[in-house]
Amino acid sequence: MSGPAGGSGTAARRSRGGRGPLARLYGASPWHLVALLGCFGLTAYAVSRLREDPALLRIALWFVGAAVVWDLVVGPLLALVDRGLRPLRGSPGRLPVINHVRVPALTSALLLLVWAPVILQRSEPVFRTKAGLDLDDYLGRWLVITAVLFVASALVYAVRRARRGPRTGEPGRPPAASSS
Amino acid sequence: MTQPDTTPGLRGRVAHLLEHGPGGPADPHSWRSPLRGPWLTSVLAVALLIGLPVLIVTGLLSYAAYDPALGGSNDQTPGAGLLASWIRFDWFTSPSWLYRVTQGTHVLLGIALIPLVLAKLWSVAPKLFAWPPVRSPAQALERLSLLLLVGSILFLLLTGVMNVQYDYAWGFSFYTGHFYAAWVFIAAFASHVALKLPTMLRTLRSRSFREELRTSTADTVPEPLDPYGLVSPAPEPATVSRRGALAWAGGSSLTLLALSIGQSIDPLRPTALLSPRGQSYGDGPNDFQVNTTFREIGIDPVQTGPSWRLRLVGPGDRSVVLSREDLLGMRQVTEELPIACVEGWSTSQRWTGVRLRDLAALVGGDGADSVFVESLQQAGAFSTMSLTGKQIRADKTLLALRVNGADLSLDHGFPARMVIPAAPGVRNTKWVEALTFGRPS
Repeated sequence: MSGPAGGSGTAARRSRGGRGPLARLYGASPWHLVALLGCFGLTAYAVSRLREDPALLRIALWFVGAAVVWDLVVGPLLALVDRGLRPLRGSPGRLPVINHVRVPALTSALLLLVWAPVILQRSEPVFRTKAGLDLDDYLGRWLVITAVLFVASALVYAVRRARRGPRTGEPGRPPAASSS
Repeated sequence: MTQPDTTPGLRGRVAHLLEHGPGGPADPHSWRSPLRGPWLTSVLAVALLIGLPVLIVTGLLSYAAYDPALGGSNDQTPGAGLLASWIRFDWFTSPSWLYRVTQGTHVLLGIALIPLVLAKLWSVAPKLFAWPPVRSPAQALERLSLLLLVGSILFLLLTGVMNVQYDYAWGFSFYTGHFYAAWVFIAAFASHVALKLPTMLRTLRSRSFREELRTSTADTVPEPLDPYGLVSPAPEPATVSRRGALAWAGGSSLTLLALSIGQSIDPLRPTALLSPRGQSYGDGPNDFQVNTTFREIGIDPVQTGPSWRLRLVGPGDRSVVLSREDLLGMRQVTEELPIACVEGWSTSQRWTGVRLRDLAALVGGDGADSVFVESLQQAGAFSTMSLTGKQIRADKTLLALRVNGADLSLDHGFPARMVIPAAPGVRNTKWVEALTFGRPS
């Protein structure tokens, strides 16, 4: 996420309080500029060492692609899915189901995100020649873990509801981390 | 914004856009989570401030562990210049589990930090779309550095996670990509910490962590509106507490760790359910993790038969040729040593063979400053490897002939392979056919 810096805001306020005209023009203290020039200097040096390597373009592509896909695709997608879970927020006085779906779903999605190459068997041919093993089980393993997460979360929900009894009024708590 | 544009004409519309923004995510009111705020962001920052430097240090150590100063395939990023020259030193030979621990930590911690990094990015998401995009030169430069920070960390996590799963879709060398992106990350991370550390410390003092852990969802209210634009001006009622959100981030981090740690600890291996290195090969003496099968690399079993010979060449061009029987006739040493891969998995086995320094002595290479190890394998980036003088003379450096009381299997390097204490797995060359000892400098 590239965003405006709180640090620069603070620094800007300070600079209005008596720094020189240069600091005011720049928008922050000189140290701010020094830190960033250090960052860009080192980056520029690293890029310059790779400038004749044909890998540079691909690396840059994956570099920018990772940030763009996360910020503009995965992030909004997650928000959209979560919006779809709105009806599960329940009504006042009833124990909401929503976090008992969110927690196992998000944890399962995270496991898929991290282990996608083996779960989806993308790397099966390479792994077979390198290690002499296959990856046949991994999709099943992930599905079982996902099922366990949802069942555990449902059990926690059932226990919480039973404990609360028929009386209403007390709003629910989020599920404990133990459900993941 | 929701108000209709009443100003006619292009100029009016531009003026309106500049003042009110394009709407959508640029409108702070479109961000509804009541949890976002500087305090939550700072708590996540503390976890990363502890974890990420460990990743940087273990990563740089892994670079040094290849002894890149020896050149050849030891140096996977030639031309790195000043990024690398200062990390070059003769890599350690003890304790023998050193690389197993540093690289196991690098990979396991990297995986475990993923949910914390993603949670941190979620917590500052509104700032990516903040309007106006640029308010001062200072802010423009800082946004650019944040693009480097976010791009590099996602790139490093992605290439790391794919590499340990043998998915090489990027089409460039993992070493090149991960090494150079790491330097961009180090640069951007250092400047980000320098600029934001005071803000983080101040923000952490604004709320009590313990108090926050006692606050239920019902009592969870947004943080006070902040100058950074993280707190939503139009929050929805909380459906989860800060305690719940942090518990998920921490809990999923521990879940990832629990499901991966078995790849580095032999008795726990079956618990690494989603790691490709959680699989067992069986119970036999040669049933442990293989990283290059003899079929993959094109080793003909005939080459490893009775006709196989090891060629030793000394610094003074003295040379000796030994059969496997000759080697078995020499003094045999047994050592418990790990194979620890750059991919983070490791396994410890009992190796039996000849000390490398005993072989060096046969050709006057006792004082050599390096040895060039050649394999029968013709293909692959690591068919040759060099070792330092320190590694030649280490007690535990073996040319192994047997493992766990049995002859090496073909996949584990029969008739003979190197096993070097504390070094990355790929340096333990298999199917060795020649050792050339270099002249002391």
